[in-house]
Amino acid sequence: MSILDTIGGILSNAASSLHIHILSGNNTSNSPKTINKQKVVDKSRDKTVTSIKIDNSVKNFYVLQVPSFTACEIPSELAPLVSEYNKKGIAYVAFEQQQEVTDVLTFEQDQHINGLLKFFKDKLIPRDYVLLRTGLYLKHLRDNNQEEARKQWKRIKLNNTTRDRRVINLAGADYFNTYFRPLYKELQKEKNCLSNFRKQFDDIIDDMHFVVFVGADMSVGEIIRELTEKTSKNIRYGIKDDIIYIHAAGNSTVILEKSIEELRLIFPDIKVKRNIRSGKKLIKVSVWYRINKLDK
Amino acid sequence: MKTITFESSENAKRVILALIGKKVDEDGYVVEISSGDRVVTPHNEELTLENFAGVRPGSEVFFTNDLPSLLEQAEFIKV
Repeated sequence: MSILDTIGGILSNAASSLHIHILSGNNTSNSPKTINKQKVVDKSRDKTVTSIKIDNSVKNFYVLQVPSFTACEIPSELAPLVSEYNKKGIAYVAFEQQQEVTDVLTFEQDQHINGLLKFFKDKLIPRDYVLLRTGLYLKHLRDNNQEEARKQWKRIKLNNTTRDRRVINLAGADYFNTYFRPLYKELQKEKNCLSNFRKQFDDIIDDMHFVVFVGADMSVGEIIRELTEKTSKNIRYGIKDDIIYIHAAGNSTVILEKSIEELRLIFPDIKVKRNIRSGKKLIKVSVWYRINKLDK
Repeated sequence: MKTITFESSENAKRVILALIGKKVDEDGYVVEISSGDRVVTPHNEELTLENFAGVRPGSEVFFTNDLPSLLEQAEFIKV
């Protein structure tokens, strides 16, 4: 089939989503005719494998044999694709990322997750709502497919701000359910509930006054310093929460374990909860910070 | 609007970018062929070839391969 015929087929296809397998230059080997896309989760090996199998069961798949060209000189055969894009008739999406979005939407059908998302949909600004969804899904990945979770977190770290990551971390540690939902319900008794909630949410994300997330590169001294700074600030500003929570997962639990004895010397009222989830160690330390030996 | 998916190979990404008037500079950033200006995401981040995951036409919204960026475009990306 000529390239013009292929492009004609693509543009005349009524399907809303179709796939092109791009071959360029002289790379014509193993050119598939149709495609069957499968995503297989191999839990025993903690891996997700996206495999592409060639068979005759899937329509809307095209092999686009593109001649060699430089970016500045598009071959005339490809002009209809350029023209269709300029007319806003085509959008392009990486196949792997389309699958990831589909996986997230499937996950969000869960009744508990769906209920939480519905609660916050109009209460958070759109960006924070997306970060909430990301955090919930990331927690699901961490519980079921740690390799995929690590891959996603690496991309998140690369493309998002510290504030974004804080919201994601809080969502993953269930704080939208246990902290922000009760906070909103409490504010409902007052006027300007929504704007008050968003203001308080912003302040909390800026300060993270009730939580410390331990990074694998933190030292014992840094953990203690972050906790004591938050303690002093909370007392100074009359924050009503009595507990600061410290979270660590995986490698970062090592340094938190080392910190606990030192923490007890300053904060005698501490509760340590250890869990293993999908083979990964998790620690949550609750610190009743008002009773402390900071001034002694 | 029709959504065309492509495999995330460097070669495929370069072809798609060429079709929308973009190329990749020597530092790996996506730039306008016409001006050499680097393109940015809706959050004003410069886009690299490695992170490029798709584009919507019109006002030309580029998105990256991380979940927040994808979920912002979920309504249009989903099958």
